[in-house]
Amino acid sequence: MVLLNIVIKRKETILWRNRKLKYRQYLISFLIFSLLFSGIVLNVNAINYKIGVNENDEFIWKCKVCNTPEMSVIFGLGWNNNSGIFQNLNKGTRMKWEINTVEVNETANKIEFSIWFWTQNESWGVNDIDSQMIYLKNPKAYTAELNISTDNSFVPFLFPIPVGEYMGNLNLSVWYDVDSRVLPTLNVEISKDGIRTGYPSKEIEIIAIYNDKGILSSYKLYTKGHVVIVDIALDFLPFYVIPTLIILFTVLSLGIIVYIIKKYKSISLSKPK
Amino acid sequence: MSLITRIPNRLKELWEHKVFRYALILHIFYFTLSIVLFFFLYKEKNDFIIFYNVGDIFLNDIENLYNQTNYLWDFRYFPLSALFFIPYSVFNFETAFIIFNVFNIILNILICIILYKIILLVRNKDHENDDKRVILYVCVYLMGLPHVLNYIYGQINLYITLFILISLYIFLKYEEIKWELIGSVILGIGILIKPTAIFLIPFLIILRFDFQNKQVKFDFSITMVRLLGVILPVLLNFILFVIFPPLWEGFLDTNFTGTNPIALNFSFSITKLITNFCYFYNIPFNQLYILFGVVCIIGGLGFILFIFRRFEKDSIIYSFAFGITIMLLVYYDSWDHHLLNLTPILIIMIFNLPRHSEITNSIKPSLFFFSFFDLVLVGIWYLIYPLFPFNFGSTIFLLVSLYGIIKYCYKKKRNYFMEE
Repeated sequence: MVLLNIVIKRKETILWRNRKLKYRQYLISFLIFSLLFSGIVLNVNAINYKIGVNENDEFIWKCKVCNTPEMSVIFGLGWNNNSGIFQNLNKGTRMKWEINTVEVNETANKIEFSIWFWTQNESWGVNDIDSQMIYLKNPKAYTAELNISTDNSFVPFLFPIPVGEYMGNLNLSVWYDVDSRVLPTLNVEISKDGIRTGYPSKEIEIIAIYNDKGILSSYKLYTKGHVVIVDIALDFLPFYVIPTLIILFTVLSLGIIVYIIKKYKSISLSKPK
Repeated sequence: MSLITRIPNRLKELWEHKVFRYALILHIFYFTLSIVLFFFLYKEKNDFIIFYNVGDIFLNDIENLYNQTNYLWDFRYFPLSALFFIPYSVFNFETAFIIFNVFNIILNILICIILYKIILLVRNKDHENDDKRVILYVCVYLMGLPHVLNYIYGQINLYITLFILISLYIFLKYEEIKWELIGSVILGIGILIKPTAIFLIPFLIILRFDFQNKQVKFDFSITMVRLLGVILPVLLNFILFVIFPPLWEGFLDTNFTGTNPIALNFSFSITKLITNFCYFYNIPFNQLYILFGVVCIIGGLGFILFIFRRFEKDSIIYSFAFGITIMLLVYYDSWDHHLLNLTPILIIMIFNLPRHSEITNSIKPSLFFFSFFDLVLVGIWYLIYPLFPFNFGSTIFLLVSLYGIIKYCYKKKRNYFMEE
């Protein structure tokens, strides 16, 4: 009887072990399976590129630096007289865009807008031209290598959002280098005679930074040695910038004051009376 | 007791510590958060994309390894580092990211074990005998917020930290020349993966001014062995550079002269603060000259001061501390997750210094700032960069740490136990 009990118990133990092993195998298989296929399941969520601006939105850019003689040397006389984006560009001038329509369909986004070219005038008056931009919804759909050089700025003033991802997936030419690790930035490097003989007459470099709406927030055109020739910035400061800066410096100053007081107290306490 | 029985027992012991429970839960939260954020926000904006592509390009199109049109962002490390990423290119991208981060967790466990072992090896005798405080500080490392960014970006800093700590352990534990070579080779492999630890190389030289005998002491043979060991893995890259000349051009351009080093970002290195300043105020500059100037001033000064240290025992800890702090202060991109290379060294220093040393007062605040507050300043940077694009918090605490290390090197009256 005792022997029978032992045999039954052994059998039960073996069965239990086998079951445990099976469960383990199931668990491990499940983990590997879910690990391998989690990516496939979650990969369905592809990026939907949108336009970050709305109808009736207005954007103003201000020119902080414009070395006109140097620009004439690089791009030739009349670089700011044509119908390009730099028309009448000078230090202290401003340019305005007003979004008229934003059309979205399955393959492309179309933006129609009015432009008031660079001017010193405070009142804008009637717009200079109406223009439009069309972006394919899928940046990879641009099969040919892209050069955004039609209007002398070499970078667009507006991109679909998320900007970094959109720029990163474009098939840009060798002039361009996208760096969106921190701020969506488009770097451009064009060597001397890079476009045609004598144009540009010097090596140029552009750093264009975009904001989260896809609007160009900073544009700097350099020559060798990072000498700034043109500096354009979006004339808009988000509401939180100044308060955050004030809070930061207040906390910092208070911290330093408390530290000095503490140090002073500890020194005076350690001095023999 | 076998290893299989020892691990659960040790875990049970550790679980009794409240701080360990919190650290473990918090770390698992960091990991889970990174996976969630990866799938919902960072899948297309992630450093791991580069590592994932690099493995494949290394195998199939090595000449274009530094052709940056192949990547979302620049690949800037040594070519042989790509070998580490080849296994991940077998899987699809999402699966590879999860496996990579699971491996990062394993690396973190190994880092904690080796950190614990080093602390026990170099702990000053006036510290508590039990390991409660050691566990607390290892948990501080584990709870550090830089882990969040490290996981989200799919970064490789933990490889470097592990290699740095293993080599440090070997240097501290063994004195035989073969171990000096092994330790250096391991450090060299760390540099091979990511050249951030390259500033450690000069601090491997055993050179010291002996104040008592008024003479310079230089251990030529060990120095040579160390330098040979550390440079050997890096030199292997030059075989590739010779066979494929475009690789050398690409490597130099990406790291030193390309557009990337001048892009506006929240790096806290002095070099970056200067280039950000020049960029913001339209001051003409050359990023290479700035880098060279800062390396000469901070690196050169640090090295000279290190030569004039007044002690030799455990000086390798301070060599590593010097090297990593200087690297973080001088290289273009010093980001929050790079601090994971430094925090374990600071923890080791805290235990190597006398229990109530005044130097600890400058190391401890830095450690806690790097672990819990630096990431906050990164967030603030995003809010204020249109007016003030400078993330200077960690720079100050790095300088404070450097000051602490230098002060310790010059301390005349040393702790009794240290002398012993």
